[in-house]
Amino acid sequence: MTAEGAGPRDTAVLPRPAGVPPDASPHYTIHAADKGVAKQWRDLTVSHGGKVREYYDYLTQTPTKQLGERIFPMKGKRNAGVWECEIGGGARFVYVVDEERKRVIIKVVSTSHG
Amino acid sequence: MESAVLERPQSDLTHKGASEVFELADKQPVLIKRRHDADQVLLNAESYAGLLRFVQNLYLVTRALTKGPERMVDIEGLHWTKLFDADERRTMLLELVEAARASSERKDPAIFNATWKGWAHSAELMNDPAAMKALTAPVDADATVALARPIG
Repeated sequence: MTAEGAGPRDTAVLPRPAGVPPDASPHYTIHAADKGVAKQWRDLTVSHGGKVREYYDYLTQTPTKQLGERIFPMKGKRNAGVWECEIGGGARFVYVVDEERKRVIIKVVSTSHG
Repeated sequence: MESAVLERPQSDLTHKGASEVFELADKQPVLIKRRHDADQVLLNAESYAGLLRFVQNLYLVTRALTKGPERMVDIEGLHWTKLFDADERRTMLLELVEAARASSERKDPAIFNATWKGWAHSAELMNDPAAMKALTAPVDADATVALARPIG
């Protein structure tokens, strides 16, 4: 895990969601809402590579299962159904889930606070 | 991070087991057993920061409870709650109290901290017109871009 503001490390391994075997097939596919978000996502993978991959794998299994302070639902009437994934060092992304198509759709990517 | 505290003798830190202890401390707090009631806890910086946030934000919640959902927006450190209506602020306080209870019961500050972040980060988003525009726009299936698993 990463200290706030200390930058990413690739040593941490997220817990596998309960009941998910190591070789489980993805249940959800991950999508960017548009090309702009896709570019921001690529930037995020460059700056936070290994960590992003861990969360990517987690979200393909259980995108709406809270994970400590890292994956949690947003609050308020206007944010119903919106989730945040905090990578560390201020980097995070916000997504919604299309249960019908089994898609995680990333709508906002932020590489740092402010 | 798991909340359970592991126990290790101090000798583990001074012999070849030190790296193993540090590795364990990355995942959960490790209690270093020492003589003369001088035990210490080893935890990573993120967990320590989480404990500090827990205390600081719990203090703000207690102040908000004394003021109530209508007037809590005036409290230094809680001005951002004005982005929510009074009903939402009432819900926020109820959720945070419940999260504090769960954190206390399970000795895990992350439960409270995640609930706090849910509200605080939502306010940040709501204060960012570009982010809110992106969030509230309906998903255009033709515009979405499939993202491949990042290569390691």
